[in-house]
Amino acid sequence: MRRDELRLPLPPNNDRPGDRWMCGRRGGQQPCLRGPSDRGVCPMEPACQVRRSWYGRRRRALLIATLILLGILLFMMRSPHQLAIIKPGNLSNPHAQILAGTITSQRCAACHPQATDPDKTWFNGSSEGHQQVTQTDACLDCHHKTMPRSVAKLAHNLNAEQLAELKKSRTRLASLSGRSATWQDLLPGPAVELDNIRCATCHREHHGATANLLAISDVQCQTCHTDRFGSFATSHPDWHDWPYGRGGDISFNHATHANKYFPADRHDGNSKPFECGQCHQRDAKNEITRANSYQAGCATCHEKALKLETVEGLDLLILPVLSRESANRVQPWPEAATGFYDGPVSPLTELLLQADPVMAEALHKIPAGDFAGVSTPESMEAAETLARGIRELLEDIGSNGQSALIQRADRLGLSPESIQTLLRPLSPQLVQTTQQRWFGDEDDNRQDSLEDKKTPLREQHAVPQAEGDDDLLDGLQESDHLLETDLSSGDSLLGPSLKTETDPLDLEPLGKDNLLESESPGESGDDPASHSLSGVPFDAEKMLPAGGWFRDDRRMAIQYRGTGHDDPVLKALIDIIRQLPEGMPTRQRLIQNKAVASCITCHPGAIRKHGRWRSEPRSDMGQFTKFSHASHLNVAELSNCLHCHRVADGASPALSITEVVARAPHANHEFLPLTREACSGCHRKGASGDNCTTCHRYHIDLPDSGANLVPE
Amino acid sequence: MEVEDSIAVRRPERWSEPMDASMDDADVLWLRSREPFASMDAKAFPRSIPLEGILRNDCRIKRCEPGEIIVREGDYGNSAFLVLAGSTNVIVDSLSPGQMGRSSPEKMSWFQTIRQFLRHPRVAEARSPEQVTTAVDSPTNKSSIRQIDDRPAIFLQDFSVVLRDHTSVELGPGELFGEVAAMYRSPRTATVIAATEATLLEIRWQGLRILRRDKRFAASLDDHYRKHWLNVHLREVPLLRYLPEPSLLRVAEATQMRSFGRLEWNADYKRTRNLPVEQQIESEPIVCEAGRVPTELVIVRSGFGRLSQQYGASHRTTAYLGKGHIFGLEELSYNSVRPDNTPLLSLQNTLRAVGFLDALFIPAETFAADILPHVRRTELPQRAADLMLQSIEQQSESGADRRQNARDEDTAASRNIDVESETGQQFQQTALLEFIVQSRLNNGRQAMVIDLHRCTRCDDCVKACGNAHDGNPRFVRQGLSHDRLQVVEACMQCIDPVCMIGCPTGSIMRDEESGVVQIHESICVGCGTCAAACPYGNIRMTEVYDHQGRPYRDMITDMPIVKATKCDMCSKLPSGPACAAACPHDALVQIDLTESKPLQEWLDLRS
Amino acid sequence: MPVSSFRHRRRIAITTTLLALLVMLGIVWVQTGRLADVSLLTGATLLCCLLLLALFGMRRRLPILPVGSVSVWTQVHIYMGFFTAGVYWMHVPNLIGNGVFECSLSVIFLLVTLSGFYGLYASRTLPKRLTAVEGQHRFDRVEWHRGQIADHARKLLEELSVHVGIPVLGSFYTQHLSPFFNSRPSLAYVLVPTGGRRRRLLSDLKDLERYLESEGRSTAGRFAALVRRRDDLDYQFALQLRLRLWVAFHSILTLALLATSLIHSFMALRFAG
Repeated sequence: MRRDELRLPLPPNNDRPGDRWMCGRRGGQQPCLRGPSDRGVCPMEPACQVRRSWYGRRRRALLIATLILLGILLFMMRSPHQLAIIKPGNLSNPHAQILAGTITSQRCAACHPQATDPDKTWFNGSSEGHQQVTQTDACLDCHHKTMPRSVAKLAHNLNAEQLAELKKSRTRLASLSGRSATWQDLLPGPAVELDNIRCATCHREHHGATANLLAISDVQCQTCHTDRFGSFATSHPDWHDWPYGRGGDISFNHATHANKYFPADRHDGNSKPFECGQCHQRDAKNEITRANSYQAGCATCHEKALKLETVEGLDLLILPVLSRESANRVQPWPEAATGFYDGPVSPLTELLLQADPVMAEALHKIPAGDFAGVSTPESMEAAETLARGIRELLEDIGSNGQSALIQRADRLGLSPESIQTLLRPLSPQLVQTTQQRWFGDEDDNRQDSLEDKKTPLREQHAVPQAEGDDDLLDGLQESDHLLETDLSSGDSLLGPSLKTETDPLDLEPLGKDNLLESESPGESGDDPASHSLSGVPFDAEKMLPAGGWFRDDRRMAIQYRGTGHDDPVLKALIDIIRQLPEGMPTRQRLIQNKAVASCITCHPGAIRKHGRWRSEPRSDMGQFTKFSHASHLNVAELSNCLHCHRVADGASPALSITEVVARAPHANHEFLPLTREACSGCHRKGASGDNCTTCHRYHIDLPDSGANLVPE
Repeated sequence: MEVEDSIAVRRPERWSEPMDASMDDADVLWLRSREPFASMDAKAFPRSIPLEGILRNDCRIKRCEPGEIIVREGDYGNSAFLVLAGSTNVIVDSLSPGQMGRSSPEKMSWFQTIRQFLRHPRVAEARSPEQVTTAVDSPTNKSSIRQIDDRPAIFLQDFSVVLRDHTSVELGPGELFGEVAAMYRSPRTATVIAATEATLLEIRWQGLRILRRDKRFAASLDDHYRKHWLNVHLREVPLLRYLPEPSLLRVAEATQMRSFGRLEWNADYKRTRNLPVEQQIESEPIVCEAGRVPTELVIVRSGFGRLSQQYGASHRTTAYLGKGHIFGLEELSYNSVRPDNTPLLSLQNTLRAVGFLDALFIPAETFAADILPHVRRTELPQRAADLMLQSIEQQSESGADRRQNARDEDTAASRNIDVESETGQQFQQTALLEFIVQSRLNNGRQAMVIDLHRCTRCDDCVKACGNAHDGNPRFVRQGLSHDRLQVVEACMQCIDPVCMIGCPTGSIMRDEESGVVQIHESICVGCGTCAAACPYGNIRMTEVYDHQGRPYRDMITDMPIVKATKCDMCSKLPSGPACAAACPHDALVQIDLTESKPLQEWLDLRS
Repeated sequence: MPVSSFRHRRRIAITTTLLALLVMLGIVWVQTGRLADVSLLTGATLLCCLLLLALFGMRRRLPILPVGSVSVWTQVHIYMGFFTAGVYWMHVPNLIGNGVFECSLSVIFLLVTLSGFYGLYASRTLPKRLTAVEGQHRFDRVEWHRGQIADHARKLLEELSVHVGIPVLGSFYTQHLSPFFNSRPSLAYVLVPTGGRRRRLLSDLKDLERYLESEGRSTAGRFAALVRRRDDLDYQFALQLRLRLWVAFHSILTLALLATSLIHSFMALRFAG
């Protein structure tokens, strides 16, 4: 109420809030009508102290702020720490460590080629000389070892053709199911060219020291893929055989072993129940080994059978039985091999004769490679040609030794390595002896003096074998070949005169010869000869327990006796078979050889790829899918292998060896398919994760690059 | 700065700017020889303003060619026309704006706008010399089609066709038109075109007002009004629009015209504005008092009326009336249709003249006989309409449903809006209504209203106004406030622009097109009459300077040259009023307070 | 757009903003998926938004151009501000950048954004508080009003004719009233305007009344009225200052934000790839 009595004057009504100055008169003084000028000068007398209006004060503040801002910016541009200031964020630790040693001004330029001299080039546009260099190039300057430049920018490190091929065949894809239409299919395609992807497209830097440079989302993975899907559990394409049937090196029928030989319900005490861990043990990295050693895993049951199977071995050659007429025509031909046409041509002989076109044709004419089928005159003629060929082969080996065989193998285009391994235990002297033994008798009747003299000479050799003077001969070993020719020439010269083994002149070279034979790996082929010579019947089983080449006079064959598992000759032979063209009848016959078959049955890989005898720990490189047992085994439930890998009940039918060879390796296995549900139980959101990268890798086909890229 | 450094100019005087400089003694003598001037008594006029002076300075002889539009409907004119020769036609119906060649006022182009913005005047209220004193005030007649003598004239295309198609009244020599709009400061009610070549005498309303001192002339004006305009005005009243011609004539015959209060009400208002509301209401002349049996229907022709009811010891305002509003309709119509045995309904509200009220009075008998039968029942007040319905029912069957009355209250709210606005402007809050009437804000057609609940007091509006006027804001963000509303002290472009009364040179005038009251500074003598006349104090007198900051001074008196300034609605700007456009928070609006609807809607928007 | 009320307008605007944000989020998601350079996209959007937001400041300074009313611009500004904040969230790896420059950029951005949000709150709430206080003083004239009140108070004391009251009121005036009327309000009051000061003075004045006769009492009453008026004035001053400081803070920081973000975009383009 008292307040109403107050009559305070209204303020002047000439407000000019857009002016910078205002009249400073206050209180009792009456403000002027006009106000100060725009420079803040009062036009009246006496002048008042003009005041800044709010607008003026604000303008001044703005001016000061602008100046400060400009100052800061200028300082930033000129500061020696300029680069540190403009750095948008910390690098990840490895990169930061590398750059820690670099001088500051070059740190940016290490990865940003356009930043070589930011101070100058900021406003000059791109500097010359760096226009072609991209950041990806800079990345590869360091990473070229793990990431070849040629493929670094390619999607999945595959070029367009490979990608197209991949898409077409889907050979690399475990999932072979048809496309399913989802709304994700409507999303646009990738924003990158598939043959020019920058590293930084996925590997984003400056996101802090601990940032994960490898992080990539599922959507990003799928953007290029024609078949897109939602979550792993619901719409990932199904696989059917993964991880089975991917070409294991050793054939092992889990079904029969588990169900037939070691069934869990068998309690006779003779066998332990089937236990995966017995064979698939864990290695140092806690990873499951792919296979057990033969000795530990298989030998107990299979050693005996394998021995038996390999003992039959393989014939180098067998003299076929010719009819009397033919034998006469072929002369000389051992009497023992005369009668009715009979006897198979050893596949190895076939192989060795193959190189000669005449022989090849003749071989062709012998039905089923067995003389038993010779009946027509035409085939008789071929049989005779063949018989001569066999004899010549024998002679060739006898005179030229292994070289003869190596030459023939060469002509067939076989690798010398395998041939050498095959031949190493084969002594030419065995062949010589054999030749003399089989053809020597007739030699007397014939003109060939060389052959004539050889037989007694060879027979004599065997006796002093043990008494050979090593020391004496040592120095002469290298001239082995020379001596041999010397010897042979000597033979021809001395043969008729020197018939006794006591001849001192002869002793030396002969002893040397003997020595050479004994030195050759494997067992000397002479022993049985000498034995038989000495009247003791040759019993391979008794006398050749370690295996080796020997002559079987009964069968008129030079034969190899295997030693069971891991026989080097058989292995070499299988490698030779591998090199033969498929469909070649000889190959088929070789494969059907019992000893060979016994190898291939368990080692089907060896017939496909060189040296595939062992089941090596398989590398995931080159595969889109990666899997590690180690981490899974930490889950108690999963430590039972059968949780995932379940063996089918029905035993798969036994296959003949040709079927084994013809079939894709492990085309049908005895495991039940591993379903997606088995994985998606844990691999889903909120559990073990269902990111693409959990199981798939992007960079494939790289030389061991994953190790340092993939975080543990 | 340099106080003594000033420019001497001549201060404009009254009649120093005659309406037509070419009027000479011969013209005046010739006019004096003709009616009505011949019979006028020169002695009735004050010595300082003789009849001859009026004729010479406030009049102009205008030659019109056939088809020329002399006045346009809706314009605010400041002068009346006396037909000296030839004939003119008043077109009773509305013509389309296009026919009348109307165009919006010339706006500044973007380029000019930007240039004005960039040209920061360093001196406040800076004027170039020609803005200060040059007498040149060329009539900026838009879209001039033809030049008549030395003025452009707008012609009606195919006027003969228009005349044939539209109802028109012919005016011959000796007849006056345009005087109503000029005198009552109301917009022109009709368009007048020259039917033949005609000679007119245009009389400024300042002159016309003085001419009314002659009693015969004044009576003839009234007579003339009744004869020629009353019908038209009655026709304009929506309630009477269905009346047949004979009824209308009878109504016009019976209609009385009466004025209450002073035409220059603003002088009184200065005194009464600070009175308490109850005293102010008491001081207002009563037109009709509540409780009396109504004898006449009141139609407001100009001015304002206040409806009030006794509430406690004082009166409470219930509505305010403006031009065209009707008073007493409900009571009269009820009384006319009521059954004989029921009592008469007396007036529920008192009608008072707020300042000045000019109204038409139609007797109750005439209303009952000639108007009521032609009024749509939906337009009648509910009570009377129900009663009419009842009487019809009663005629057919006895025992009417009495419950009808109970329903009146419910349906009262859903009354026809047209009729409601005709019978007064109301607000939901009585306080707001009182505030508006008390402050005479109902006069404002473009009142600047601020919503204080949204206004952040940033003064952007004032700054924008300054920007639009060479750095000189034309208003101050202060003014009367009520609740969340503040009515800023800026020109409201009043419907009754009292500031225009007394301007000696006609410098302040209403733009014929937009109704914006504008000051033509070059002929403003700086007398301050308008500023003093404005009841709201919205006209400011300012000293003017040249662009170097030197003050202008009168060469004779050595007094500073002062000009009246006020809001001009930024009529030159392409953006319209800069203040409203500049408000970031939707807080400021220029709004028509003569009606309640715009403000009510504006308030509803932010409820 | 026919708008029946501000509430309706707000609903429409919020819906539109949310829709725009969702669309943007969708685009970002798709673009991230297809290994496109999303930060370039969001960054460009952000820069455009910032420029458009800053254009509002230009519009306010150019009030006479017919380019839409400022209130429409304000609405666009507000909701675009929300949108921009959303896009910022999509653009940055973490809310506050890592490097020195990026850190300052993000801090400036956040300051501008937060001040914008505060401004929205302040400009919608403070006017009501201002309206509630009597006297709609203009900010630039506050000083003048203070002077008027101080002068009036001094005159009141001078006009006091009864000698009994002079020592009582005089000492009170010199001790309490004069410092109050002749000094600006304290910073604490400007920050948080409270009625404590006013209540203390008024109750002290009331306590004096028992030493005064009727004229002195009337003068004391007038003093009390002046105290109230001065306190109202200071209250208006504090709130208006707050509103104005906010605008100044916001606009000056906007300048810094524009400069830094332009440099940032320049560097980002330069160092990209």
